Amino acid sequence: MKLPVFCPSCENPLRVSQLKCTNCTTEVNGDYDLPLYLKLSREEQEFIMAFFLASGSIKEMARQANTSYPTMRNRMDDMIEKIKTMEK
Amino acid sequence: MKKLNWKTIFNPFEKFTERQLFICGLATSVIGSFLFWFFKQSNDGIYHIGPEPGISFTKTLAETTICILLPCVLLTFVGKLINSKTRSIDLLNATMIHRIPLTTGIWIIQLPFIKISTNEIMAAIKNNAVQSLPGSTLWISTLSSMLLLLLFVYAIVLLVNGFKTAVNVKKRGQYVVFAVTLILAEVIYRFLLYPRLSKF
Repeated sequence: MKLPVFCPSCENPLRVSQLKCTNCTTEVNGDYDLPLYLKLSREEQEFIMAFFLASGSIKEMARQANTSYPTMRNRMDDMIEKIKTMEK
Repeated sequence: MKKLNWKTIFNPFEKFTERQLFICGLATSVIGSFLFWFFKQSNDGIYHIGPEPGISFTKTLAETTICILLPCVLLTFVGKLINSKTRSIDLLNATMIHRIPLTTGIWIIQLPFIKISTNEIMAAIKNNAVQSLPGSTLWISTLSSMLLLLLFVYAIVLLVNGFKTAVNVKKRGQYVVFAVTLILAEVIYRFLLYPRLSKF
């Protein structure tokens, strides 16, 4: 099942309020921040995973995605910019 | 094999690899130089051509090379200022590929019926008898001019998209800088470089 990261009602980022152990059914309640990676959209997470699996080669990613190197590098730069903004 | 669609036609720089674009750009540039020599046309501006009966192939080749390299160097300089990751190969490919529609235009002006109508108009202007021109001549001239204008617009669209892809342009002001750079390239070529090419 896909983890929602944005509120379906107001589109603000969601936070973790409950975690559950599937073995002993222990439940932890609180107000936790989602890890940065999980705050990204599904598409962006897949992009980062693809970058990792391509051994960090933008050229290889471009080849796999059937697109040019600058297009892939621009996508990467835009995502870096987005993550930097999210970190602030 | 990549599928051709409108996006690919207007921005091939998003899809094709730099090697494919470079080979295509280089081949069309050499063919373009040959066509300019064959039809005895000279690039007296980056975006302007005029007849030159005794033009040599060396000169058309030199003109084409400068018309590609000058905007490429200036746009690379501007691109590096905007985004340090800009690569000169991407801008070289953009400047080579964007000249394909301009080279196509040379075929149009050489079509016999267009050449005849152009000569008729030139003669009428010389003899101050524009009113006596037949309607068909004016129609042919208007339609061919519009077609050439469309090819020019297509060439500029290609260069804009090539620059956008190479530099990752985001702000409107950066397009203004791009336009100013292109005008500067035209001025440098027309007034400084083209006069020096006469010795070829």
